[in-house]
Amino acid sequence: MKFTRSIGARWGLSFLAGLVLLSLWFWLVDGASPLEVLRFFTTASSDVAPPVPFGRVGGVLLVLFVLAWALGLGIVLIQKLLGIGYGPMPVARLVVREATRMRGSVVPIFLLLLVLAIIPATLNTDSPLRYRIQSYLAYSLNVTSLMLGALTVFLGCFAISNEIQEGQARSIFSKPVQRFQYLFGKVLGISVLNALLVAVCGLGMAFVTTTWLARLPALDDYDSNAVREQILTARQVIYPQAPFDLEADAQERLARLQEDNPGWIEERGGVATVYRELLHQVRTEWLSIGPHRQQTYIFSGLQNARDRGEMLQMRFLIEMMPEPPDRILRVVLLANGRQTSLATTIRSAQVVSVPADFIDENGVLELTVVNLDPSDPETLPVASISFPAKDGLQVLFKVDDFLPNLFRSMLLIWVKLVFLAMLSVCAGTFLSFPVACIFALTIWVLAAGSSEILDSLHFTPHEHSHGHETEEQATDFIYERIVVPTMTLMVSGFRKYSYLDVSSRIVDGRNIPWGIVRQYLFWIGLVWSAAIGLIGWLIFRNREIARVQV
Amino acid sequence: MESKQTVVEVRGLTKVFRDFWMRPRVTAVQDLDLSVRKGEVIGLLGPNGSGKSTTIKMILGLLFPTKGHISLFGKPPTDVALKKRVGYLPEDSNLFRFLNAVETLDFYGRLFHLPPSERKRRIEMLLGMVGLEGAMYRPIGEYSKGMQRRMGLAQALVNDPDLLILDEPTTGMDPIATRQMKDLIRHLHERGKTIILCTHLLGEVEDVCTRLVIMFGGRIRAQGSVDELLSVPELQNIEVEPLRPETIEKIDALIQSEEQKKIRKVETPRMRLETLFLNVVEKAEKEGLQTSGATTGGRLAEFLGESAGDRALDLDSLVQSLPRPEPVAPAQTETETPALDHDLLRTMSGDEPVETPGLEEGLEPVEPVSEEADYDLLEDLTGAERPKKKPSSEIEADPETEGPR
Ligand SMILES: Nc1ncnc2c1ncn2[C@@H]1O[C@H](COP(=O)(O)OP(=O)(O)OP(=O)(O)O)[C@@H](O)[C@H]1O
Ligand SMILES: [Mg+2]
Repeated sequence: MKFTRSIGARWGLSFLAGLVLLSLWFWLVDGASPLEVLRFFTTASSDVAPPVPFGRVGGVLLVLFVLAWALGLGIVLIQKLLGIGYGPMPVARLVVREATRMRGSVVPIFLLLLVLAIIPATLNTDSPLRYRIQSYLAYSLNVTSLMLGALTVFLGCFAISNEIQEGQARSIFSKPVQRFQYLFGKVLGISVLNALLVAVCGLGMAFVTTTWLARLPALDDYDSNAVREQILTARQVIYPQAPFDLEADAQERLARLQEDNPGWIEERGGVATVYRELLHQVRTEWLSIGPHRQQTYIFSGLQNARDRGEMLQMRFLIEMMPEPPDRILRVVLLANGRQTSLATTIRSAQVVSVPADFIDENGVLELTVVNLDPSDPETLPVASISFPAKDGLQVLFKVDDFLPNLFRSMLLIWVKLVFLAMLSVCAGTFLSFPVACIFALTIWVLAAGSSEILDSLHFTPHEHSHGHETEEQATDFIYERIVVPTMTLMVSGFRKYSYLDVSSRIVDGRNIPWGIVRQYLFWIGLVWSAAIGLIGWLIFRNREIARVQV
Repeated sequence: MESKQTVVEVRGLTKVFRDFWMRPRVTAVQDLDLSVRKGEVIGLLGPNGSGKSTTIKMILGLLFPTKGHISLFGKPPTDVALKKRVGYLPEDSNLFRFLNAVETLDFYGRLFHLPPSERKRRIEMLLGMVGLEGAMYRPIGEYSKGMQRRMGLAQALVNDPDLLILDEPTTGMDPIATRQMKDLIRHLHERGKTIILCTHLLGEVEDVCTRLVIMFGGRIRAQGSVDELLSVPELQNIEVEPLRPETIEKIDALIQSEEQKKIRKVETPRMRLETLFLNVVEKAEKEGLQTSGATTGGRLAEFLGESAGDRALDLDSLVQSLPRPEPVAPAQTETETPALDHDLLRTMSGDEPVETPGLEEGLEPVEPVSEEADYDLLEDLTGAERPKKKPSSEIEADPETEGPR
């Protein structure tokens, strides 16, 4: 058609015009000739690449240009794609068309791109490069999933409720369209649009981190190594196992308590509660080391790292009570019998490199930590040290590169958006727009915060303070018997949705394995969405299209 | 022409609207029986809130009946496949604000699984027919009310439906579009399509419908063919070129002596507002004035004429015939059935020819003069219609020269 051909021509022209303007800017403002710029973009590795040839504003313009152009091209392409076929496809195409023309969605999309382009220019250049890159990644990932989530709720709730309210649904359903086709078409449209937006945002992040930020000068060697080895990478994490059976230990203690003091167990809230507390206690004891003592931690499943032959990273964080005055602490780390480190600071994470050939042929690394400095008895620590239960001690090794990992993280964000789209569209089938929005937002918040909510429900300390005893018992009862179980029931279904913290994985350069991505795709993208869709369809099937709700 | 095949069959239809607590609030339709046969043009009349739109929505499956049975082409209205044969223009044009006319029609065409080439062809024709070619790449949200109405009509016709349901199709449309709507309905009727027309413009109904159904309070109060309901056997009209008063007196005397009757009224027909309007617009278009709005359109979308083939209406010649400056009375006398006798209907339709005051000197009118002003006003307000029903092949004949009654 004549019409679309002119659109293609317009895109081509705008691309050329943008390119010319950008080169002019780089040349006149940043003083980099087009040849230098070209050399910069054609050299991928940072060892041989010339320094970044553009300043902050130039960088923002460049990123904006790339993103806007990619988005425009993508919109044209997905409209073409959805132009094939009948049934739900035209409905999906309509969604995309409306979403890319309606101010309510165009403005947030534009703002998102703007934010992604502007953040790198606002980072403090005095701070180490690794922190800058980490802030950028954390901020942009969170902004992307938040903004796109909100946009999805808006578009999804709008899709059907608005068409019923304003009456377009009457013309649509006087045509041969099945209700599930319509429902599915709406979700499909929003999800395809989301795929494009997620892809564009991911492109932006990849572009900013690898071609701009990562090629800025680092503070020192450690800084540039950290960027390469701890952020722009994808590492697998191995957590330590105890050399003995923690659960058996807890069971044993429980049995002893039951013999000695059965009444006390009842007072503490029953066998299950006491067992949980005991297990926690055993774990904590294993993770702490008294003065002049040692503890063993076993990392297994390292065959992969051994085969790759790359350095292992041992990451640990030590707490100490009481703190030594210089906050320096001496411990001995023995990895499979070989000593690796002596001194360390407390309360901030340390990374120690361990050669891969320390690992034994079974892929096991046995780490012994001694709370003692034999060479200098004068400065003997007299206090216990401990590793925090969560992430206090771990071994990491590279299994993949940054970009594929970023791609998987984007895929996860998208899968969650598919579910959110289905939820919002279905909410719009029986609720009016504002009510549907509130409904979908509530569920989204519950799902996204489910891990934290569950943690806070189960680990809230009950401090029996002084005061009105009876009143407290009553509220305690309500809290424990009613609030906790209902909240747990409501939220635990959603645990899958948020148990993987995508942004912290990327920020810490930790791998997101394909297995998890597949799980998310299957459970959240398919099973959950299908279940919600089925409920939505059953409701929608019995809805009177021409019935306006007041 | 009318076959026995029933297109819509409604038995004992009742619709009760309930509130949130399921308490009945409004009985919109009550125990309604209706059957529409193939080829009929049914005019659904009734005051506001009498349940016309509700009935239509139930026929289309957009509302579910509380009680009763509906069959559409012999199947329940929830059967999606039979919507392929239905076209519906809702009472309020509800279109996609962000799409333009081409995209909208393309979307609806896709819902009917029309192949791309066929969609393109139909879109061009339909936009030509409703006169929106000039505005086809503008978003519909910017359209005026009447332009949206025209889009609504185009949308309803995209599948060349066998059953066309029009809910107040001419609200907001200009007189030309109104006229074309009438001609379109006639044309589709000739092709054997079934049409349900719901409107408040009684002239419209009278001109095109084969059967009338008048509803009140959710029930049918009267139904029957237009001739049955509207003919007034006690009166006759004679139409001639202007006569001298003496001649009229002589005729009066003649009638008295021959038939012992009197002339009840003598008047000169006035050019009707519709005609005047059509003339002005036609002239402006001839002079090539630009408009960002709708143009006359009127070329009937070819695909709508296809299966009938032989007798596509030439709507252009209709417009051409209009701009004649002065009413010329044909030298022919025809007897006519006068328009509605029913008082209420006459007042609502407002399409009575009005007595010219100039003639009053010659003969005193039989009817009270005080009524004139009202008719005048009503005529202005409603967009006058011809009071009489003519076969469609004669529509090119001069509408300006309608005789006095
Ligand atoms: N969704 C609804 N909820 C409650 N009552 C309704 C609803 N829709 C229609 N009604 C009521 O049903 C009755 C019939 O309405 P309907 O729209 O069928 O009238 P109508 O004959 O089309 O009127 P009009 O000439 O104004 O278009 C009215 O009393 C109206 O208030
Ligand atoms: Mg109505």
